[in-house]
Amino acid sequence: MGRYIVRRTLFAIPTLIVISLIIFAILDLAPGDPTSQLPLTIPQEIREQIRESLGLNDPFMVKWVKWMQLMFINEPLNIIDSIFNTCIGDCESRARIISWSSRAPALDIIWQRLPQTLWVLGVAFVFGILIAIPVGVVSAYKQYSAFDNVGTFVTMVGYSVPVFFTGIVAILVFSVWLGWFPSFYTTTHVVDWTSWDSVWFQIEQMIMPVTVLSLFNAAALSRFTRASMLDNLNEDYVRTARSKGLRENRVVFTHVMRNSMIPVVTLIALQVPGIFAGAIITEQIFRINGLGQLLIISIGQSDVPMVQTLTFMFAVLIVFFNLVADVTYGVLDPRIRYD
Amino acid sequence: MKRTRLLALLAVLAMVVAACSPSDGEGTSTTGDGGTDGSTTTAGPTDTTAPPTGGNAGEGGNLLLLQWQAPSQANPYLSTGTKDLLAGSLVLEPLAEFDPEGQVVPALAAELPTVENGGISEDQTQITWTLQEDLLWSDGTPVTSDDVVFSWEYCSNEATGCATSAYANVETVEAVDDLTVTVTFTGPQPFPFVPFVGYTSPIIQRAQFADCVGEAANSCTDQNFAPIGTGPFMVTELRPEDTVLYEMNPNYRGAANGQPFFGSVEIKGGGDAEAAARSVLEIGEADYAWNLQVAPEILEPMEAAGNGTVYVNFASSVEAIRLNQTDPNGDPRAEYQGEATAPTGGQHPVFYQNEVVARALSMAINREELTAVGYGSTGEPTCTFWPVGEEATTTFNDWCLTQDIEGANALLEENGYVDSDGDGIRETPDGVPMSFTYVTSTNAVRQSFQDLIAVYWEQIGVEASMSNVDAGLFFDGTCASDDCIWKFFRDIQMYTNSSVGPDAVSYFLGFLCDQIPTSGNSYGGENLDRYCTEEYDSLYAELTGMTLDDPNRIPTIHQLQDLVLTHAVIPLVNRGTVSAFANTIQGVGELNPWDSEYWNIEGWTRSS
Repeated sequence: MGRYIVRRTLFAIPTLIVISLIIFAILDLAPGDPTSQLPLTIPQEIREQIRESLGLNDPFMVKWVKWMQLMFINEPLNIIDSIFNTCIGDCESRARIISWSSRAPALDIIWQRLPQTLWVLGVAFVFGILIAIPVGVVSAYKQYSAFDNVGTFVTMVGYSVPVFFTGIVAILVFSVWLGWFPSFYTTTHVVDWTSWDSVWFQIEQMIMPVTVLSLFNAAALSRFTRASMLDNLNEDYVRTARSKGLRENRVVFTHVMRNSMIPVVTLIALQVPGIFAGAIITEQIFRINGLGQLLIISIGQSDVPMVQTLTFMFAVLIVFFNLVADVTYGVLDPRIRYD
Repeated sequence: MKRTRLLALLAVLAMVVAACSPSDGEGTSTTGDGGTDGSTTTAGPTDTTAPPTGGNAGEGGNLLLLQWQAPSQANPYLSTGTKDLLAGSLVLEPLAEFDPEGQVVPALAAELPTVENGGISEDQTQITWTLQEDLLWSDGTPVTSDDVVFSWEYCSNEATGCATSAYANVETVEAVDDLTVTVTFTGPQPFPFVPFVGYTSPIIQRAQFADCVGEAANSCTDQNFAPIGTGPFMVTELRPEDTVLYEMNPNYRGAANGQPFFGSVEIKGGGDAEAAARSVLEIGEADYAWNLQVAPEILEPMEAAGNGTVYVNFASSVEAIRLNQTDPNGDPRAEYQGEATAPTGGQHPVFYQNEVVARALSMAINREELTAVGYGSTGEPTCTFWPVGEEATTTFNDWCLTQDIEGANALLEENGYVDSDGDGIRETPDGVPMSFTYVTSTNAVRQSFQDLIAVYWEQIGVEASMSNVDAGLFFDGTCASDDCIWKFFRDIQMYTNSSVGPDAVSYFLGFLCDQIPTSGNSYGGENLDRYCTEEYDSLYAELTGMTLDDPNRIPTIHQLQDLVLTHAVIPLVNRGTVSAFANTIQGVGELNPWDSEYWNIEGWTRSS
């Protein structure tokens, strides 16, 4: 297993370099101008100076090599420095990946936005799993029961009604009519766990987006769990287990669930990068300025370094969680051996 | 054995959970301590405090401003749009600013320089400003004329990449003494209130920005996020494209008079204009929402909820149709007519100095209807493209306010534009069908305009083939695609042009022959319509020689505008700036379309 992980990790490096080149080429080919939001009365010479100062006019390969250097040498050094409080080389004047719109280091902005994305999307993800798996298991075990029918109906609705609809309805009901919850998310709020008001403030601003997203996440996952359980419930080994006189609990939770979870856990692992990439629509509707919103805004402003860095990080996460999924698969199913 | 695998599974789940619930404090421990503001932000209109008059500065609590396009940073010189200029304008101040009527009023300057008080030289090449005495930066150090000089030096370094045209005509800026500074222009400037006037060119502190000139400007994140200023507030924390937190500036010159009323300000971004309008007007959870370009049928019911009021004011943002004036007679500027260089299909030299067609197209348009459909109360039908103060009083084009299909048809008939082949589309006297390409940016309002205008023109035998281009490409200054407005490879394009300041001279520059963008000058010019006449050029030269109080000045501006209206520009709607305020916010006065909407924020108060 260890060798397998090392091999996969090494193989990921050329993959990521190729990905970064492809992202870079797409962004470079796409027309766009970081000065396009300036008033039309700003003359072209001034726009040209701005573009020059951003390094927009360098040749493609020069820009890419510069970016590679910043991403793989300067930024890691910077992270090491800030963790261990050291100063490697010329840490004072070390160049970093600078966003064109805010002129601030792109990674600092990404780091600053992680909390709100993880709070909302992460909690919604966990809730989604906590709802989906029990619902899926019970629906499968009691197939065609009232619970199964209701569950199927609710999950189908949750899956087929888009978030931008349920989100707006939630805002209309709970913010406009009832006035219970704020319709936007205050990212500067720092939760003080000793103060009920502070915690309640955080709950208030999370409750609508988390509910809407959990419902959506749970819908797909519970269908998947149900299908996987049903496949296994009719297997011969289940009948064998029952005929050996095992208690029903043991049959369902140890034998059937264990086998049914293999594809479900893989699916969950593969969805984790999605948490970081942000639920772009949800973030937009509830005004949670997280990573998804950052990506959209940066694309709109032709902020190439920011888009490049964000998409590359998503690529890293996807490659990494693919590996995690494969490893988990091996852990859950002893028949699978990678060495 | 089984137990260990189960533990492994649990461990994976635990990792997922752990990754999803970091404490909010992590990664956000920047210099500002905005944490306590959380509880005040939801405070609605009921969060009342002491009466606004006679109070102490800063006792008004928190003011929550929604800017759905959130600021990227607070240095206006590096701004990527109005959103950043606004964020800077709470902190940084210019020498003088514009009031809602477009009049120049002193800000940091003691008084407005004029020719009479010797502030403006007789030959109009110099302007001398005197700073108010005892001005302090928010860090407590005195403001001197050297800071004014530095603000210019900062921008005049090309490598800084300054996003303002305010210093374009400045030769030098020199400090005479600690409070006096003289700006010398490269030539006579009849309107000298451009550099250091308005929120696009405020004064920044030399001590703070000294190491941020040129290429270093991009790495000065701390300075760009929290510039030291003289204004009523100072930045405590800035999160790009998200939130800006401000606190009252204790050294603000109005502090003795109880200004500013609010102790802190929060600018919150994200979402869209409609969501921002809903927050202020329907939910009542914020005090102000900026730039509400929302369809009238959505905005009006929101206002009816009674929490807030929509403020509208008009400056020079006119949505207009521009007719391609390219000279068809072998002119090197005529790229759009060439076969190889015109992939987008423009072929029509018909608009070149053609009064008849321009007039007929304009007569056929129902501006009342367009305004009602696209803007409601936030727009006004207009027949001028420079609707600024007295300079707008030209009545030359007033006939255009009433749609006159019959008149337009008659005009075309008389001049030989007839439908000779019976296909419903007229031909020019030269036999070219009057079928035009008409492009604008992708935008619901603009497309409904195109739909309506196509119908109007159909009634006068003119066909318009409508297309729209993504705003990012349409307004792309690099002109990477052939769809940018500077190339104008079509017959007709439509967009809103607006002037940064109320200066007619710099606005009317955009119709001079030498301002035509061509492949030769990398499409760097402001005369996108390719309008070019000797008459206009010589009249414009006269205007640049006139002082502001010259009695011929306004008639000349009228004449210039009338010339352009005759041939090149068909104005449609004067678009107001639209923002909403909670009903509890007092002291706003009129919305300022010429300067920052926060220009008088120190005087805003909250009533109970």
